[in-house]
Amino acid sequence: MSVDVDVTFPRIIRSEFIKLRTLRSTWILLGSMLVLFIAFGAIAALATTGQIDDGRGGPPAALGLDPVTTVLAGAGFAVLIMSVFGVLAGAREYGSGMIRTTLAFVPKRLPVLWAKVLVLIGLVIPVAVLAALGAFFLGMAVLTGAGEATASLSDPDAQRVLIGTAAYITGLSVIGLALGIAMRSMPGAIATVIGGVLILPALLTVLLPESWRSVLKYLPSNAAAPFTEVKVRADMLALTPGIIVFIAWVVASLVVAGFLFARRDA
Amino acid sequence: MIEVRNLTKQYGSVTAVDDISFTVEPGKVTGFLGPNGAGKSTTMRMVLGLDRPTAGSVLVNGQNYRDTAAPVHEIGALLEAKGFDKARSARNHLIALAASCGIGITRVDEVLAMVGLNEVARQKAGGFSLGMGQRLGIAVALIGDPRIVMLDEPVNGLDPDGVLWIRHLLRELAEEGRTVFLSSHLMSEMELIADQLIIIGRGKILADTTMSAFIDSWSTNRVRVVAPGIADLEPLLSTGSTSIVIESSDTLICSGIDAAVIGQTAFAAGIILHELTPLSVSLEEAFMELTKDSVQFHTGENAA
Ligand SMILES: Nc1ncnc2c1ncn2[C@@H]1O[C@H](COP(=O)(O)OP(=O)(O)OP(=O)(O)O)[C@@H](O)[C@H]1O
Ligand SMILES: [Mg+2]
Repeated sequence: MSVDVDVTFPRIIRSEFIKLRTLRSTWILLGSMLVLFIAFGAIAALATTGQIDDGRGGPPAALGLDPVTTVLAGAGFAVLIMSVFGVLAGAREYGSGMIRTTLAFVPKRLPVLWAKVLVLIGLVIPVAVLAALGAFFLGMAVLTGAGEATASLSDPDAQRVLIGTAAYITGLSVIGLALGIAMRSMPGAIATVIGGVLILPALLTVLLPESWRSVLKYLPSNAAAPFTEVKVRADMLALTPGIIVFIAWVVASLVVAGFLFARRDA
Repeated sequence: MIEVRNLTKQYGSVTAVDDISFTVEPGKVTGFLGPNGAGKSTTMRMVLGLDRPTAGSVLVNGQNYRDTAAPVHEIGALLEAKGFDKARSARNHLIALAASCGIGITRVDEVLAMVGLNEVARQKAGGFSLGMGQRLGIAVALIGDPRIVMLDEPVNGLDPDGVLWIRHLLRELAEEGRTVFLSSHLMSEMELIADQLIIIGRGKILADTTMSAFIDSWSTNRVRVVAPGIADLEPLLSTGSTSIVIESSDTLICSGIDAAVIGQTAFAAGIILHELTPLSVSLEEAFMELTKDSVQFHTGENAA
């Protein structure tokens, strides 16, 4: 066999794509993200219009929220599911011992990590954008039907939050992947990304005294607020610093993962 | 060719591999034999660059494995751990790995047929038996048409048919001029496959020799002779190269002399023999003798 069997970066990407494509959990996670994101937006829109009862008999729960926030009510779920997907893309091979087979085929390690990241981003971005747009249009249709206030896609706020939300979902999936590689354990990395990255900052923001806010706004989920939330709050970063800080978190997680991945025994 | 030079691996305070050097040459089957925990798997992981040596180096066909352009063409390896995702089919497992070096589906199906998994190739690998998993691992090892085939305990879990198949396969690969390196903790297995033998115990090389030299060095023929008139027999036998150990008042252990010659000598002298037993050390015993100081996990003989 004198054919070319050199390892090249495009081939590694292809290999990593096939790995994800051939796992049912990939499609279950991407599919449920899409469905839940859109469905929650529609439900929230219906609740706002009073077409469904929130069970408390009071005024509709979501009342008073702006329409974009309402229809993107499912974003939190989407973030959660895609962080788990990222962890799966990073840590799963450690659970099975497949990582050793992978690294026997591709002994230069960092290209494997970058290929995993690119494949993940390539899968998450289109589904996240599709889900955000789906939630937006379906939700706005519900609001329009009920004669409620709506927002249009040409609205700069809507554009910022839609793109920002899709980017936030993608960024957290990459952080999930980095944690999965760094921790080599699905349960550990899932606990860390959900507990440490998504829940803890929100919790601290509520629990710690006001004086801490200046620090807390730099945590990943808070740094993303300027591009995932419609209303600008006083205790959040401005848009550009927010984007820079969030990207810094993603890059930092990849640097740590890359450092460990390249140096450690597989 | 695999060249291991002063290789050492420590895991914390455990020295798994202790300054070992050896060369695995092409065109023959080299057995890597050692008891549990001897350091076989650790050595193989370092050959592939999976574990970083604490000291020393390994060259794979003259290069650092990480620096090879076509790693799969240099070494095809089967490692100890299963190494596949339970949820993926055997075929998809191979397709994904093969893609990393541009190998296509035709070759995947070819190796699946070669290892006898073509009929179950589309089933999830998680449902595979130990032997089927092992066959999948061997398919992975062979897919890149490697110059070196390195297998960690390949017969583990294979049925007699599979064991026979892999023996023939390894022989064939060696005859094609490839380097074949396999580990085992069973001498009986090595005896049937290996041309060259590297024995490791507690991270140290205890022997590095050809199989035939190993057999010769351990199979000095000894014969036990039981006879009432042993005092008369002993001087008749102790000639030249024969050495004799008197075990008891009526028992001798002779080496360097055939049982037939002893029988004839005794008959000619009119000495009655009660027993004339050739004693051969089995290779398994030889291996155990050699490694007895380095076996880490002794079985309690009088477990209460
Ligand atoms: N990742 C690791 N971390 C810590 N210790 C390890 C690790 N891998 C191996 N060891 C230790 O190194 C020693 C050699 O182990 P290794 O697996 O190489 O032996 P082996 O010869 O393959 O044994 P077996 O026949 O049981 O497969 C053992 O004492 C083992 O406990
Ligand atoms: Mg082993």
